Amino acid sequence: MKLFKYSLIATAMLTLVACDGDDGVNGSDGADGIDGNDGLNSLVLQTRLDVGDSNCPNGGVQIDSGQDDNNDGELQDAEIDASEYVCSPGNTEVAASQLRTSLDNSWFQRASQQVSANKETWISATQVASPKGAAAMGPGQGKAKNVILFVGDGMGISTITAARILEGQMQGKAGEEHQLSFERFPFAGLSKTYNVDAQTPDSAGTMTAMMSGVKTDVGVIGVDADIERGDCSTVAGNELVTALELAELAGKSTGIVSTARITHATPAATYAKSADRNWEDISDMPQGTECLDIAYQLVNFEPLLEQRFPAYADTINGIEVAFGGGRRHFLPKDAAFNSADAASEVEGDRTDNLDLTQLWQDAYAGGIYVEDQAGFDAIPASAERVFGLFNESHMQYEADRGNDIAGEPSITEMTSKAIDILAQNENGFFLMVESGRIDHAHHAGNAYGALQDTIAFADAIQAAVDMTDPQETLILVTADHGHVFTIAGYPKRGNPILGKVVNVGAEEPALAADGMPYTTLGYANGLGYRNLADVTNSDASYVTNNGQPDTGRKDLTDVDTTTAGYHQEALIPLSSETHSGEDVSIHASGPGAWLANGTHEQSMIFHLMNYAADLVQKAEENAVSMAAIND
Amino acid sequence: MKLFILIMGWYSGLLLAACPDMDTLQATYEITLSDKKNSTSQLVLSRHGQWVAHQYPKQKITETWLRTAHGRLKKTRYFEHFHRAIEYAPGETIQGKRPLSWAMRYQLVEPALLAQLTKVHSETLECDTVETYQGVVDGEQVELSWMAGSHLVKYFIKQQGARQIRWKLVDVEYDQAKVTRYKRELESYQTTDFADIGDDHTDPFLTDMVHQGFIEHGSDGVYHAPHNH
Repeated sequence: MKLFKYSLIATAMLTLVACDGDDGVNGSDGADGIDGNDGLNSLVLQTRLDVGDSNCPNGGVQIDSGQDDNNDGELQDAEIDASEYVCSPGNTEVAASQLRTSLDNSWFQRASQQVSANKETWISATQVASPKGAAAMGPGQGKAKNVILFVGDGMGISTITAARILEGQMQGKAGEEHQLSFERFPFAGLSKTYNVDAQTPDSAGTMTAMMSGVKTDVGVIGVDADIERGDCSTVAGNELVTALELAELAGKSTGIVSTARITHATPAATYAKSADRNWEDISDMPQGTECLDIAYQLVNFEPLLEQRFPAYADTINGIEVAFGGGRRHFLPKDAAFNSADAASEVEGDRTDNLDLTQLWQDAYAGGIYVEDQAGFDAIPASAERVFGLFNESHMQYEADRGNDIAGEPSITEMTSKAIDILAQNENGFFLMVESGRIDHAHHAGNAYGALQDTIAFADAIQAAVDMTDPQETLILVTADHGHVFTIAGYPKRGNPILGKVVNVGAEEPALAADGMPYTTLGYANGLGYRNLADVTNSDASYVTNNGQPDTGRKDLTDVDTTTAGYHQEALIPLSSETHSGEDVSIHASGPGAWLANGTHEQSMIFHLMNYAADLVQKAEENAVSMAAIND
Repeated sequence: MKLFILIMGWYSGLLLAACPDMDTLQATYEITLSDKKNSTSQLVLSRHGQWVAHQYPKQKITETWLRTAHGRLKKTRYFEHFHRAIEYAPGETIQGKRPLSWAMRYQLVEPALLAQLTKVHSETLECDTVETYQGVVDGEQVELSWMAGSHLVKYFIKQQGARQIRWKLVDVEYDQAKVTRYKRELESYQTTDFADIGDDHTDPFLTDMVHQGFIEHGSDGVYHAPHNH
């Protein structure tokens, strides 16, 4: 705060009055009059105004002026005669400073440059001139009113290939020629998935890269790699801004759908900042921590974002759609709060006694909270806002969904309902849909479960394609990482993808050097062989054989490997099959989709979405127009 | 007449009050395997309503089962040394494998076994009845002492040739406060969902799960349903 003082010099003036007639002799000078009193000092007080000030929403300076009536050298409130404001013209600089963590980050910069380079390559190759008056704009730039990001957790390329064949074979085809819905998208590229500190990544680091354009460490959510995992004190100053948050600032509707817990790493990276992916509720955190747990951040997304971007307080209205599992993280550790299909004696885990589902309902009077299929079915397409928690933990595998006691909607149903609700906003929407259990079925070593969930995911993507206009909706389909899942041997065309290898021209299964048949699908590591026949819950492998691995070769001669409960052989014994480090695919449709065309850093996906929807620019324009309204 | 009913009711109440709550107890078993080489282990069975725990002191592992309102069994495995636990989904019957029977968890013996044996002795105690059963099941000589009131195995002997397995109840406590304390202590452990074991490869507990120790096959009950060993 600067204080400027200006003194005025006060003078006293005498006036002489004369009569008509000859001028007399000038008399002698009279005695000097008495000096007048000193005049008052005039003071000017200059005060910096923060963003969010009622007079200068984008910040600025307040200039107060007045006379120092009490001569104390300071301009008191009662002495202010006038106030003037010099307001910042827009919030461009403010936004830049608030995005500093991202903008200064080398991952962010490199991924952003990749988009620029691709744009130049495209323009050069196609000779497409930029529209007049918009020299900086590339093809499709800013044209996406809506963005839908589909993430198949663990849906590596071998998973897509096997699911494609399985879906084709389920339709009576040979299978190999078939295409999953998103394989018909016009553009595809590859995504390099490694984390800053890991060759083989995890979902937290990869989804943070996709959502905020910055690669980060394993296990952390929405923060850059300067953080120390598990150390709350390192979060401040390292928070990143996500595409979902930018969409919110741009006045779009926002939604998240996941078949995993809604607090799990992938969905969490759209809205939360956490030093540890496991801090899903307060009971998971170190005692006395000052950080906020992930569930709390979801329910309080709106006020927390307003704190970070006060200039947008009038625009930010919270996430309109959140569907997934994970009720346990939102309920107090008290059996009185158990839901109808609670799997535990005490369903809730929260030790702060907060019922976040109730707090959400209190905050959003027009919102609808649901827990089961019946509640979901009753949600009208015109609903203003919805929050659905359909399971205590993860939602069911698609193959096992019929076993849920209270009933759960499918990923297609959730996606369709989400689009119905979000599309009511004329400014458009951002939606993230995660198929979270492809990953879990692979971890359990069960290809059947992983492929069935991939097929269900492809159905949800088709529903989104059918419900949106490709001229104004960017749809991206990708994975956070792959799995050590292989398609091997030399099976003949049309051989059942879940079956044993039957060579070209043969009718009986091929035999390995050990004299035993082998399957086309397999895992490099994990729990290994289980033959659980018609069991549709992939996780049954963890309670079979006391959870111990059973790796190596088995005699599969009399085993039906195409059943839901068959778990493929594995080589290296581990308590759970692992992620893999190879690239995953990006499939793109809609404005800006052509940017998915090559081998990209995973962080480039954020920049692709930002290019197509011009999220940063739209957010800044939104702030300027709000400032104009407030003026 | 009314007075008589009241007095009878009061007297029955006294009798009932004198007997402990059989649903809340801790029973300690000594399990001895005599074969070419002998071994002894211990299992502590704890019950609290719809919750049962099998504690293996030697391995420092406890497995618990909760019977949910819908009759499904939810298993949790506690690793005492690490103060960590793995939670499993409410179980479904796994075809071709041992079913997760509540009776096996609650009383360590399938009712089907009693039906196959012959009752050779019965003794009525103040709060319980002790029955002795004998017979041959699947070629093995079996003897079982069964506390019918408390649904506890008093002893169990299974013999085939030189190989003998013997379960012996060495202590039983009906201390509700103690069981509650024990249950609360377990519930204070950090838990991980079974489906999340593969998610976090930086957690040394999870990555080393294979080596944390597992319960020996067959030690979680004296006898399963026929053909389900």
